[in-house]
Amino acid sequence: MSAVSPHLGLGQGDTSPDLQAKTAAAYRVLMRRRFAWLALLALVALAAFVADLSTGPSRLGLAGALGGILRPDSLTASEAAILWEVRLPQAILAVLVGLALATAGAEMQTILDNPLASPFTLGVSSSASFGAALAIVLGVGIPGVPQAWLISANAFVFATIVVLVLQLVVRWRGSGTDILVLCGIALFFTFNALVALTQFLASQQALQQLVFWTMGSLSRASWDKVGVLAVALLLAWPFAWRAAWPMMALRLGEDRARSLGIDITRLRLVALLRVSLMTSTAIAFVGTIGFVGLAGPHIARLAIGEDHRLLLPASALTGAAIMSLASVASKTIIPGVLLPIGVVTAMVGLPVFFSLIFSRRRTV
Amino acid sequence: MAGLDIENVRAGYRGREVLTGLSLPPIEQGCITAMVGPNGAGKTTLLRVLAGLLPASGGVRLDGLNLLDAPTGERARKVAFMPQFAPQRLSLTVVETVIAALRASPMDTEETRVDAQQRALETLDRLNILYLALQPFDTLSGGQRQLASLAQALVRQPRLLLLDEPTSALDLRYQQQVIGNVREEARKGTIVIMVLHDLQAAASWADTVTVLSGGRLFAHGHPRDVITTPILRQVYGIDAVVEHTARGGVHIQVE
Repeated sequence: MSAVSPHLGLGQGDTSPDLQAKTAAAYRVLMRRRFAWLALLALVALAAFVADLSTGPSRLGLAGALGGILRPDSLTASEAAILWEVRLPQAILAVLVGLALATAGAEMQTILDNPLASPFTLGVSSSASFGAALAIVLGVGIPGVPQAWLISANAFVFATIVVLVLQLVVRWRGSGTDILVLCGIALFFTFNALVALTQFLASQQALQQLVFWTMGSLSRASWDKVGVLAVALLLAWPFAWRAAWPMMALRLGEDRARSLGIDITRLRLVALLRVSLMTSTAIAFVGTIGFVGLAGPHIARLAIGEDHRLLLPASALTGAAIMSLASVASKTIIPGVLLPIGVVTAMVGLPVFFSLIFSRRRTV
Repeated sequence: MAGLDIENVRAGYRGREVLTGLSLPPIEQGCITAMVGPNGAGKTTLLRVLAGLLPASGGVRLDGLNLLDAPTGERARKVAFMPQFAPQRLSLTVVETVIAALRASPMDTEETRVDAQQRALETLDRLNILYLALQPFDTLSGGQRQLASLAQALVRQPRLLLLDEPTSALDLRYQQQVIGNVREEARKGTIVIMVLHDLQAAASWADTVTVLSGGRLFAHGHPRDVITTPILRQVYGIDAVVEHTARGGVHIQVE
């Protein structure tokens, strides 16, 4: 085409390989900056994990905890028990829950094309709460499941049921996000009402236990749970990673993505499955922990942009850092009192989140 | 064999048939066809059928390949579609959107994996928007978005390029730029079909104008033969004076 006048502010059509090379170099710089952010997030997450490991009502501090891991015989029997049976499983579970919820949140925000989406948007958490409520209040559970796992198993089953219902909706009415979100909201209110009903029927003791469960807590951590959640993450993550490009194409618009040959109904269904696996496993073990799945991806996106190959690990690391820091806060805000971590993530996280949103500058 | 054949295509939405057995004369490679007609005539529906976004019956053959029953990857390799509207909230950089359009499909091969970035940059360069490469998509102006969106389609080097109102909401400068790039693509043999509402634009930009009405072909041919007072009266129900200029433009004065 004819060259466009420079005073119009457009490039002159100087299709020089030079300019391409310069742009490629600038892109490399941008990517390096993003990787630096990723490294920084990883460092913060690691530091938060170590801080979490070194905090608690007992006197086992940073040196003791790290020394105890490297040289187990340096600890007394009771210290070793605190480290290996309480601190480590709790700290690792906090990290894994953060990874799971924030990854699920990042995927949810993309498939619903909605920055307000989180793993809880579609009623997954309230159905899990109802499952837990059934186990706690009525003792109803899946036959054959040991008593210790009854609440977790129920929460998982109900969260999965909700996702299966949503999958049916997608299959039945196409992949439109509006209907999906509306059904999710309907499920959210339905299960909240059912939880309220079980609370109404509950005994004083069961009610207390249920309220505690819905606030979220790491105190139920164990190595078994760490193992199960790690397996869930290992199952979901490779597929999330492989879907990075199609998910980015989905951000270009549904029509565009479909014209590229992407089966977006299937893409959404499979992503929803990953989200449900990660979310319901996490919720089943620690109860309802909000905010992480919403804020993790947001903070990550502010730092490194929307490239899913980087957004997924960045969200996961941010989620892990938030959970570890919240865990530290839950142990230290009121000395001697362990606050429910779900309450802490919201209370501590919200001001940080707001300040990030309002100070948002487009740098990436 | 080379070219596009559209025969007896039927398609529609939820029980309402919009294209009622549409057939077009063969479209040769390198030809720019403007699809015009009143609202509801089936222009966009046809474009969506060709892009594989809407199921249809009948025959659509591109270089002998029936697009209606071709495997998704095969079709996506040959056909690129530029939707009328670009996404609003998208902080991917422009070059990333173009790379994503190349990488995220069943046709993602080892080859595209290796030089996706280079191809994306070359495409942006060709469209004179290399300077936008690292800007977040949602900071672009409307015109820049259209160009970036065109780059997402062109980077795939399609045989058939489908454009839905590619110049809507663009000022004259961007209109010229978009259409210049489309012409260049056609010169390389790409078949271009664009839906347009602006008849004057259709006349000056397209080699062939296709007029649809009621889901069927009403007229097809050189702009001079198709954009005429009688056809405008029959299709749009308006009385207009049509003057074709020596340089291929047209002036339409509605009475």
